[in-house]
Parts: sequence; structure tokens; C-alpha cells
Amino acid sequence: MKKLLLPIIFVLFLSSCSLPQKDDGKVTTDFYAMDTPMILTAYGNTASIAIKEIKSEILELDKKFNRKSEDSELYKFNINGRVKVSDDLIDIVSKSKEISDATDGAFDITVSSIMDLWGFYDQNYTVPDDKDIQEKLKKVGYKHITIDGDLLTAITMLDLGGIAKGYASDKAMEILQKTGVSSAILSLGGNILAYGKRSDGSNWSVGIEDPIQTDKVIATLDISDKFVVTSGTYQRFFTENGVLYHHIIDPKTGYPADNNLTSVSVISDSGTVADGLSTGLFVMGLDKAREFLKAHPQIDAVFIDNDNTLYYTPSLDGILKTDANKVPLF
Amino acid sequence: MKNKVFIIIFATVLAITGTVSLYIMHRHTPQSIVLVKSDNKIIRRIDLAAVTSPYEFDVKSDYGYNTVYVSHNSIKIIDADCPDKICISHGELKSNYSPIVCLPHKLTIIYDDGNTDIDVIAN
Amino acid sequence: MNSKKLVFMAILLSLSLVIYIIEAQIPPLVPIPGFKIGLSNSITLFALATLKKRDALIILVLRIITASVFSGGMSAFLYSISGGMLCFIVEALIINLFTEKQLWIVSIFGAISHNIGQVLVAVLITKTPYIAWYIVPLTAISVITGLFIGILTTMLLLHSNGILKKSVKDINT
Repeated sequence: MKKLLLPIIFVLFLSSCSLPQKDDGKVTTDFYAMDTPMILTAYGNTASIAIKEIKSEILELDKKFNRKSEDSELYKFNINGRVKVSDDLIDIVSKSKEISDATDGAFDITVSSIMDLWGFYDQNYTVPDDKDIQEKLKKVGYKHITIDGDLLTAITMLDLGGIAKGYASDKAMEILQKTGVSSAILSLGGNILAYGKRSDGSNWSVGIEDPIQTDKVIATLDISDKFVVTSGTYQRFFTENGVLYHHIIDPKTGYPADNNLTSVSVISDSGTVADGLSTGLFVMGLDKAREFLKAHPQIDAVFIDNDNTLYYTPSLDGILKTDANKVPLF
Repeated sequence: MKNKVFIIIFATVLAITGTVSLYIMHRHTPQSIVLVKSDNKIIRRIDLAAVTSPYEFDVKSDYGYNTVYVSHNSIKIIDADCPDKICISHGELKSNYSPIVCLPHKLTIIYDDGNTDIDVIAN
Repeated sequence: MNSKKLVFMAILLSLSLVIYIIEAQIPPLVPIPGFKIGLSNSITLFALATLKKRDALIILVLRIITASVFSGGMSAFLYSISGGMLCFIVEALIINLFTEKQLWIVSIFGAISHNIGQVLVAVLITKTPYIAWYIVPLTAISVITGLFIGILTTMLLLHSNGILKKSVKDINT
């Protein structure tokens, strides 16, 4: 009889025990802001404070930077063209100008008037007349923006859609540091901040969307304390007469950047830089972007072309994992 | 004597596991993100809440195929060439206590528990 | 190995194979991955009760290998062999503690361990720990199927006693 007790206990144990429940102080929230879903997750004692603060910061920035909302600071600026504005708006515009300078105008927050022509503003997609594009192009250019103290001046309207989420993620990072959160993973509409490490001490794994099958992941990045931002043609586009027109407009031509790329992901220590450069490097194309990345070794990037081949900066060796074809950039 | 002891033991085991399984098999804890894993790799990550119009896709492996049907907040297998078709009779995914499994094809469908290889997707 | 024994083992092997294949044609009673009534386990139990353990093991292993050739392939073989082996080990360890009328007890233990073994391999193969939850309903069902198989085997033994007792004595010497 006694011999049998052990197996019986074993069976009872196996059948009634539960899988270990995780209790690591995880706090998650999701909400809609900046025209896109936000998913914030943080771990630790101060996680709920940090998440609350980040959420209100994002909503606050959204109020200032949303050019669609009549109450926003940016909306008022776009009407007047010369206004005293908040520190945040000065800060984000001057950072945008820096990125424009660095990318030789490939990233430009004044391109919005042309985006509107194509209908990317109100989803009323159309291929505009070339004449209209050339007309609007005259006023496009980050050099037309001047900052004098808190006085902002421009001859054309500004759109911060290509940089506001990145800027907000930098603010989120500051809050995480201030509140002493140990680890967090934030997705601001696909702009990722992987802060600290997973509870098991390993790096966060950030997936890069497959541009062809967008519910699949084509590659992953094992990172910690980094921002990742992807710009892809698949995010917003329309087709007319069999031709695909996507939302990444080259500020020099006024037309969608046409260079065989489908997606560019930038990995950086700054969310603002990652956000701006994901557009900038896309517009530059593979060859110009290669020279840029050689000159800026602190920035990493992954490019995906029409054939789903991945081109990556060599320092991502061992960090970038994929089953797809991959080629180092240099 | 021995018989009686074992009748009691097995009756207890049956009562406990039976009750627990009725409880967990009927648990419905829907989540938004599901992972489709084939042969040990996550091949798809789907946000069920974001699905507006239903669609289906095939998961093909060396072992055979399964046709997965996805609609708003629901995922199930509707066709497969495995011998027992347990994955089809399982119906839609209800909770991670009863994941959709096709053992012969090494296919599983579970809710993302945040514990998988990919934490977040940049897009 | 004498020829009588060889024939006897061959009969048991082909019986268990036929039972296995027939069972595979029956649609599963409960839609739980890994679930099997385990009819062919009655032959394993029968072999354990009549033959040496080593010989019973040979029949079981040969049955699993041949069955996977007929239906299933490599992954089916892995599930079968892991469940089958765990079941066999448990049954072989405890069978001597019980009489032939108490085989249902041995059989229930065997059925439970069979399903645990199979589910654990499924967890390893698919790397999906949640599958382990299926051990709970499978254990509940195993009590019933195990009981059924055990009684079946006892009936098999009692009915074939007259014919078997004599020849089995020959076989095992």
C-alpha cells in the first residue's frame, strides 16, 4: 500500500497544481491619442504612477501638436504663421530642423501642404496635378522656419505627425527615469520604447512588421533602453490606375519616395531622432542612407526592400534576428 | 479492502479533476492578441479586436495544413488534413487553459501572454 | 525463444495493431488533444499479465513503431512512444501488487500516466506550456477509460484462462 501513495500524490499534484501566476507589478494601459493607439506597460512599484503621468503627458502634447484640432497650439500657429508658442513647440520644431539639416531636407515638417494635396490628411486620396504640386513645393522647406526665443515664424503650415510620437516617447523616458521605474515597454502608435529589461533580465524583443504580410513579423531586435521607429509604405497608401502611392512624400519632388524600399526601422537613444530619421532615411534611399549611417555610428537602422531583403547596420549583428534574406549595409 | 481504498481514491481523483476541468474548459477569458505558432515558431500575431471583416488563411507545414478562420474577437480552425481533426472540433479559442492544438501538425493557437519571444511590434 | 512463444507474441502484436488502427478510425469522443481510449493498451496489459515484462515491452514498442508507419509519421511516433513508455513503466512496476481481478487499478494508473507522458512531450515539442492544462481533463477521462480497459483485460484473461494457462506455461519456460 505504502508504495502506492507516492504515485497517487504525484498524480494529484500534477493534476491540481496551477501554472505559476506572474506577479511582477505589471501595469498596462491603452488609449487613443495622436490619431493612433497607445499601449503602455511598465513594471515595478512606481509603475502605476509613471503610466498615469506618461498618459497625461501624451494627451497634453497631443493637444498642443495636433493640427487637426482647432484648440491646439499648432492649429493657431498654422493660421497665423507667426506666434509666441510654448517651450514644447519650440523644442520639437528646433529638433525637427536639426534632423532636416542632418538629412539634407529628406525629413521636413513643412511637407504637409503636399501631403494634403494627395489626400493623406482626410483620406480623400487622389493623384494631384503636377502643376499644383510644383506650386506648393515653392513654399516647402524647413529653412523657411525661424525661431527667435519663443517666437516661431514660418511661411507654410507645419505638421508634426512625423515626429510628435517620437518626441512624446522621449518625454515618456524622462518620466520613467524620474519615477524610478525599472522596466517598461511602450508603443506609441508603433513607435517603441524598450526601457530597461524584461523581468527575467533578458533584452526586450521588438518585432519588425513584414511589409508584405502585415500581420506577420519579419525580424526581431533584442534591445534594451532603445527607441525603435518604423516607417513603411504599407502604413498608409492608395492605388489609382494600378499604381501604388504611399504616404512617405519626398519633400524635394512632392511625390512619394520611389526607391524600392518598403520599410525603414531606426534604432536610437532618442525617440525624436528615431521618428524623424525613419522618414528621412526612407526618403534618402539606400545609398544616401548608407553614407549617413557611416557618419553617425550611434544610430542603427534596418531597411527592407521590395523583395523583403533586409539591409542592416553591421552593429546590429547578433541583435537582429530574421529568417529572411539579410545583407549588412557596409 | 484494497478494492475499496482504490475506489475511493479514483472517485476522488475523478471528482477533483472533473470539477476542475469543467471549470477551466468553460473559462472564457478573451484577449485581443493571439499568437499562431507552427513548429515552434510564432508565424502570426493577430489583434482580434482590430479584425473588422473575417478572413481565413492556411498554415502549411511539412506535416500538413490547417485553415484558420479569423473574425472580430474570434479565431478557430475550420479545416485541416490531420487524422483526428481535434483542432476543428475544439471550436474557437476561449482561454489559455484550453489552447487550440493540432498535435500532429505541431500547431498551437494561444492568447499572447506577454511571455513570448516578441514583446512589441514597431510599425 | 521457442516458436510457440514467437507465435503467441506475434498474435498479440497483430491484435494490438488492428485494435489500434480501428481505434484511429473512430472519431475522438472528446475534443481534447492527446486523448485516446487506448484500447490497444488492453493487449499490453494482457501481455504483462501473461508474459515476461521484457516480452510485453517488445510487443508494445513494435506496435508503436509499426503503427506510426501505417499512420502518423515522426511526431505521432514521439507522442505515442512517450505516452506508451510511461504507461508501461508504471504498469510494469505495480502489476505484481494486484490480482488479475484488480487489473482495473493498474489500468487506470497506466491510462493516467500515458496521458501525462503524451502531454508533457506535446509541451516540449510545441514549447507551449499552456497545453499542460489538458492533463486535468485527460486525468478525469483516464479514470473512466482506464477502468473500462482494465475490466476488459480482466474479462479477456478469465475467458481465455483454460486455453491460455497451459500454453503460457510452456511459453514462459
